[in-house]
Amino acid sequence: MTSPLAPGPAPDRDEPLDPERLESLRPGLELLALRALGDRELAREATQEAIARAVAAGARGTRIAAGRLAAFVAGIARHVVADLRRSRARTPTVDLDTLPLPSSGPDPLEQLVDRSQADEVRRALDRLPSADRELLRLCFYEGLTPGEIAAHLNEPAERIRKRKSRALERLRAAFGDTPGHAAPGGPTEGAEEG
Amino acid sequence: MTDLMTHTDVEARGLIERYVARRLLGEELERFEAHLIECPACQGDVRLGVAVAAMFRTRRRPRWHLPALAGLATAAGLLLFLRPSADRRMVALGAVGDPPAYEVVEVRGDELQRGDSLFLAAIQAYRRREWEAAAQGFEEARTAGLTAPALEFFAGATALMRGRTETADRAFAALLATDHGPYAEEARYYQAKARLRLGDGRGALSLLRASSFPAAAPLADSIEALLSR
Repeated sequence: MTSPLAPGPAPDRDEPLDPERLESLRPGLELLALRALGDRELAREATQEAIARAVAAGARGTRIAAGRLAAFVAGIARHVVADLRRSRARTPTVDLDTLPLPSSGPDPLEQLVDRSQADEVRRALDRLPSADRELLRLCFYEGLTPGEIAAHLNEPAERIRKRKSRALERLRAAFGDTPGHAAPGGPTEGAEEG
Repeated sequence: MTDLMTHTDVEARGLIERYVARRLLGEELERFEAHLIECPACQGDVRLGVAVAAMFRTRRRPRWHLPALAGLATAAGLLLFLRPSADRRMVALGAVGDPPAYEVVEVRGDELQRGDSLFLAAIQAYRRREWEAAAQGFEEARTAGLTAPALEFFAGATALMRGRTETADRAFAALLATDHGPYAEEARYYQAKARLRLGDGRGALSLLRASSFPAAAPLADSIEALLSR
């Protein structure tokens, strides 16, 4: 028995697995895959497979609630990455003398930063006041939240956020990449919907 | 079920910073990644954050003036000629295959304190070798007020397994400074592993000679053999 007041299926609130929309997620998916796999070629392979699986799901008629598409595709990507890691783990090569220690290796995502960008960031960091450099170290190297840093430095969290924002703006200008979050506060999932 | 992530969330919770430093875990990580793949601004900030973190990673290595460097290079070349790859072998001795095991301790009483529950959850993650989840769990247990040698020991062991060698070194040193209980001998052994990774063979040797942990003596012998070459 269905109540006439109960909400029925609302196809207009679903989001189709449109190939063009999926393609727009490719750079972000590659970033995720590279972080997990550490190898650019493998990351591209994983991304291609994730998009192909999502397209196939769309062809089978799978529909995703509005705003959930990115989460759905990211979930597929995680499965693909897990499969690839498992298949790689089946052929282990362990040699104590050549075993890289985790602390000695760079972050796989450093492959996304080219030499000139790294040099610009280094110069911009050197131009910052030492207190701001320390703040960025606590942020990106230690991974502390603004609240944790505020407690650590015994300063109000709001002041920490402002200092961090200002320092990052200078680095963004040097990095020559995307402009960052110019208008914080708006929801981003589904932001590309018409 | 609406869980739209806003840029205010990203800012306020330090999500990009924690993502770059690999301190973002579980559901929070999944939600952020769902946001990240469709947000070019966050992707740019992640790349920027990675570049910043890389600078600090690089800067931890000491810098030398050129004349001093030339002299040192000559001396180092001579040493390497006499003792090929000794340092590398020393560092390799710091490798840890299996993490120290957690022996189940029966908890008396029906009610676990919140810190105990968080600790046991972290131990489950530790046993599954989910190091980041374990590290966060131990930190939460500490924040909840739990103080116990086991907590400090396994937090140190987790840092060691994550490759956070200096953190591990500090954690074991702090434990040894205050505790002489059941974890002390093993803590000396694993702090020695950390010292080896940091290239401090003599420091490691001193810790191992003071430890009655069964694996300590053979490791100390290996270090002595390398030091005497």
